[in-house]
Amino acid sequence: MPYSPLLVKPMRDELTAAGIQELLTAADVDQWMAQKDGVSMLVVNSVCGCAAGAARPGVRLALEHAVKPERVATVFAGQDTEATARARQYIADIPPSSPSIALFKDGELAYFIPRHRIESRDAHALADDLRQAFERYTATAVEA
Amino acid sequence: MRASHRDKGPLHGITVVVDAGEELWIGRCDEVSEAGVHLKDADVFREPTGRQDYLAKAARFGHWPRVAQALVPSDQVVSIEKLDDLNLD
Repeated sequence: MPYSPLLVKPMRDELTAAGIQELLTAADVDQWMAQKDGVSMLVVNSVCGCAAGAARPGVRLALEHAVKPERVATVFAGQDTEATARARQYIADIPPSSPSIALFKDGELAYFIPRHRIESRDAHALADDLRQAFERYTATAVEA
Repeated sequence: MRASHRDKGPLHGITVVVDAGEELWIGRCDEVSEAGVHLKDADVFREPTGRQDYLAKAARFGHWPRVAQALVPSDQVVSIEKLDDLNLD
């Protein structure tokens, strides 16, 4: 059962304030995934404080890096259930977990951080992991 | 913004591997009590072989949450470890 929209709004805002596009419906996800060129990142947001509390600031920190994905979007697990279910269909071989982070290169899954690799790290450690993945999979630098 | 439930112990909310002898459980630890390890969104591996492969896949991509809630009884728990801390070399 979804939490109150008032409760989760700050958790949404934490990502959207960093310029991350929110995907609210299955159609939003399909449209976003249809654009396959380059490197893109999908963040599965979550209410869980044990892990998502590090995930959101970690993502924000990572996106301050000069090399980063061209497109970044988010779905909110447990809240925007249709959008989250559709997003998971694109990585159907991967067990569902939230929060989690998927990096796509030319439409193919290139890198995945499941929940268990977020929950015991702080935001800076997660950001370091993401920055390394950005450098590995993103060929061109983008101005920060 | 970060909520937490520290009163449930240091493993609360952490994905753990519980070696219970013939069964190997992976799940999100709710708490460890006298009764045992309380897991949520768990999976159990019961095959006589393939345990290392199963753990390696789980360590890389996560585990399938096939069991909503489980209690691994204390007298069956051989060890409990964070999935992220597993050394699979």
